[in-house]
Amino acid sequence: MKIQEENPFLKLKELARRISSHRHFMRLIPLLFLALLTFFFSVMTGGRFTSPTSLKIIFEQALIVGTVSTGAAFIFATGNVNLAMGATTVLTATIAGMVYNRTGSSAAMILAAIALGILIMVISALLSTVLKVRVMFVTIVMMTLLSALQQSILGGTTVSLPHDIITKLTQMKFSYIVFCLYFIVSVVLFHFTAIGRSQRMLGTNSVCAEQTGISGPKYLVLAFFIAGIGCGIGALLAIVRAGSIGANTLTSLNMDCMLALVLGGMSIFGGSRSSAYAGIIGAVTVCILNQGMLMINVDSTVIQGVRGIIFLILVYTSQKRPQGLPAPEG
Amino acid sequence: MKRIKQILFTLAFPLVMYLLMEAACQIFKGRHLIGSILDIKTLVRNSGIAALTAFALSFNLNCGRFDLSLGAQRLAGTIVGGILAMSMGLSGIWLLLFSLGFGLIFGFITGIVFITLRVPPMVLGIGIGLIWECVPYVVSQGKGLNLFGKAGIEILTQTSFTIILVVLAALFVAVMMNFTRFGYEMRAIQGSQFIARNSGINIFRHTVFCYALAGGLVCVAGTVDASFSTQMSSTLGLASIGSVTIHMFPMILGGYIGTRSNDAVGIIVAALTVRLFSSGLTTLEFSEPNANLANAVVFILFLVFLANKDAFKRKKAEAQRIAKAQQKKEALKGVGVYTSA
Repeated sequence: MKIQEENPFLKLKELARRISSHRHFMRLIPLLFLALLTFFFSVMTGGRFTSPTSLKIIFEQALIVGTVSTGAAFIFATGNVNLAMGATTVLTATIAGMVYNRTGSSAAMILAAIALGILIMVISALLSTVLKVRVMFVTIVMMTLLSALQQSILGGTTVSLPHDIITKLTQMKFSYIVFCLYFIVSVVLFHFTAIGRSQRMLGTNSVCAEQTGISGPKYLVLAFFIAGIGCGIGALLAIVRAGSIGANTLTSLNMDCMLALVLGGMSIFGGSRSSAYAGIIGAVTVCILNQGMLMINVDSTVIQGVRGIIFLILVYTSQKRPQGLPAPEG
Repeated sequence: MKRIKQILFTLAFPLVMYLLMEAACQIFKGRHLIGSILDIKTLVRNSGIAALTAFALSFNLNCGRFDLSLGAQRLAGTIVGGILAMSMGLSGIWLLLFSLGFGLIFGFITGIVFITLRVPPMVLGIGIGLIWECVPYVVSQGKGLNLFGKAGIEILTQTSFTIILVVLAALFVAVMMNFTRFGYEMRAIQGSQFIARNSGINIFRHTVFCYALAGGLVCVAGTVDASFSTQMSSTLGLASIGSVTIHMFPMILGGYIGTRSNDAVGIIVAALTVRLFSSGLTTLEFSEPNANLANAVVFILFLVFLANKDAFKRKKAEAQRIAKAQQKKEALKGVGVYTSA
């Protein structure tokens, strides 16, 4: 016993175990990784990477992914995954753009985007809670269905908005204002209200949560509702950024959201280790990774591979693993 | 009598679908659903690919795991195996065997990563799918697999060969599921992974085996697909997911039909049923997005049916239970044991 206590290697191992099991460890890893990446690319590009223009591009790119994944965090927290976030956002953007072209009113466009985002997500949630279809199946089918619906509506064309409205919204800093509002409300709801607490508890142990009076279906619908607002806002940001929506718009949004949540330190099993700000931290990390590798002339194929490897490494290092395999009832 | 009922139940699905789509095609387009030998060949080919992919999906999905990287494994195994076979001057069956081999390897590695990381399969599928998609892209320098004009691949495009392949795959799955330790373990894990593990089943080894088999089968489907279309493009951005998710419907429907026969037969019949529906939509001149939309709507309706088919029975049993409890309560009240507060 004494030998064990005096062994510096064992002491170091014990220290590493204590640090890694600390509740703030998982929250610090993404920030450390973000700082490391910024430093690395800054050195590799001779400081060009941290120029104001480059940082502005990164943040603007991160806004859409950050908004949608902030909403998705509520679903993740309950221990579920929604694969239809990207398809919902793109369909919402398409219809919102068409509403603007039909009415000429930006207020109508904003309302249509948020209402449609909520409607799609709530339908998905009701399919699961009322009609008892498993969330996994619902989201996979909805991903195909919404994508097909968008292509069917577009019919090979694109929805383009007039240049003046895009310029006006850009000058108003619409994207930043809407994102900040949604982000603040989400953080408050997630970390300081019964909604967030209940959702995290459901993710930690749904049986225990239900036994203490927390309604699983109710909070799942609420999670999808809040995520729906995120999709609506994400759709508006996509319209403002691109000015037109086509079949190839935001095709990687779904994957980027999942990547962002994991890189941002979100617990992939949901529960008490979840956080609402994981989405934006992860979104910035994803954009830094993309932009940085492009700036040091890395091939786009390799960029994807590197993202995959980093994703798996972070998942491995930052998540607590179950004893058995992650499947229903452990 | 029971056997006849089972056969009728199994055959009813493609038969009813055929009659429905034939009627729709006759009414709206004045054409037959299947009007030529080419239509039959296309139906057999598409049903074969759907059945093989559904078999692959079933290994993991039946245990509650959805592997999002299966599409990427299909790309990687088919393209890498195909290119390697052709570079060695081989083709035909060898192409298929090489793809199968690479599929097994990619599936095996995915399984090993899964049991090592122990993260939700869908999350793992994204990470590993990103990596697998790069492999064929790098190996083929973005060109994918081109089989146009290559000698020896004709055998892979023959209808009879597709049928033999599907029958072999079905036999393999049926034997594996019903007459081996693997099938026994699979059923135990489906019931409860926790109990299966505690009763001595090595769930980790079983899972790796499932991933490897799924990878192998999906690459066989990929090779048949590539042989018919004479090419397979390498894609990035997880675009490969769609090539597998569209075959979830035959897999789930096959599971339902299989309750009266067995899963292997169920999946083949389901694949044929779904392809008849899709062929009908093509004959009815639905555009591709509209056909996908119709497929997704029917799929979701079927999932709703599947989740609620016993709802009436459950409600009735619940009402009976409550009535029985009320009676008991009244009886206890009568003898003064129970008093309402």
